Amino acid sequence: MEQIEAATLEEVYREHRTALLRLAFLVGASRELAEDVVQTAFAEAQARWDQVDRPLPYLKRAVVNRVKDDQRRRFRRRDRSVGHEPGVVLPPEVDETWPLIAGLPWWQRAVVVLHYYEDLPLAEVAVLLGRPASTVRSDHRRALDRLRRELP
Amino acid sequence: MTTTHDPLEDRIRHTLRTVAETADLAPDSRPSPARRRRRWPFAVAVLSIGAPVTLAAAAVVRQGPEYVDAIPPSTILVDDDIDGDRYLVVESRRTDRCGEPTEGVELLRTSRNLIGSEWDMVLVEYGPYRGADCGTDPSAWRDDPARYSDGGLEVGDSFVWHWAVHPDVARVRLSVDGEVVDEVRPLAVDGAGFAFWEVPDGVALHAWTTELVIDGQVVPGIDDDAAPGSGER
Repeated sequence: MEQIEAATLEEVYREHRTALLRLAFLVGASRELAEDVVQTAFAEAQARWDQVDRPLPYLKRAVVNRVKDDQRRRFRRRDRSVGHEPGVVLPPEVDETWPLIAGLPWWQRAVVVLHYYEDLPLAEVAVLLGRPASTVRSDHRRALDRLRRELP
Repeated sequence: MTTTHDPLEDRIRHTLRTVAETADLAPDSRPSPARRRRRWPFAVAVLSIGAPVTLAAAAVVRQGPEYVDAIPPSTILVDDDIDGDRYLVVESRRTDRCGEPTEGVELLRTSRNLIGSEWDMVLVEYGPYRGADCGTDPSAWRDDPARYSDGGLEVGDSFVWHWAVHPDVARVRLSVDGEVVDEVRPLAVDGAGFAFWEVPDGVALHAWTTELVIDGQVVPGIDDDAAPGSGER
């Protein structure tokens, strides 16, 4: 029985790891952090695997929340030294839209990524982020206003 | 794939997809089959670090912000016990009723916070409350480093006392009957300081005087009872 559960977890890992890495990166993780949060999400899921009905939404939520926690920690611990992290190379076809999205306040960025990249309705984004739906709608509106204002 | 007639939304979708698919995340980090197998022991190791906290748990019964879930080990600032009664100080990860992230720390006993139960902890924040459950306003105390708020949590046969202080406070000095009995160094979180002290045997509650060491000077603290910086939640 344990072998079957482990295989199922590994199957999900093999199938969705890259997608989760991309999601982590889009919501603000560095490459190193993306690796860490995805590993940790799977490690924690392993402990409660038999209670997880829908693994992918569960893992997405875990990944986004871990990136959020890291973002907050960086801001909060003033004495924390942030080491150099290798950057991610983006191709030339990525235009100025990406830096503007990446520069949004974290909650707005997360809403934009989950809504437009993951194709989640705003109500589901609110559930995933653990935020009131009205707040998420407001974040969404403000993000679009800002992008519309700043994009050429 | 969802499409819209708003050029901005289409542009956002296109950009996110392009970044996700072309950023060099996967090629550099995708493990070979051999590496992939080695990752599982690593995952277990991560879990084992988290286990002392997550396994303060009986079972996952309920989920949601009001119920206890695993505490990420990286958010734990203090992990100690009094008479075997374990307590933690962790960075707060909540959202208040105004939809904003709480700023500060939480003091809790693990025995009272089993996974699936409702949180039973003290939220310690710096500054006066803005309004009902809407967090505090640290800027209101920025010009007066002597102001602080304090409170306590019963742990074991004693109390863990906590102070929320100005970020310039280097130490919280505690005296009883004119004698300094201890000094505690605040932890810097969210632009404020948070100090914790296990009340020693023989020291009655409120029997001590709180002074603050700021820029090498000992300053009498101003306890802000009218605008508590902490509250039982």
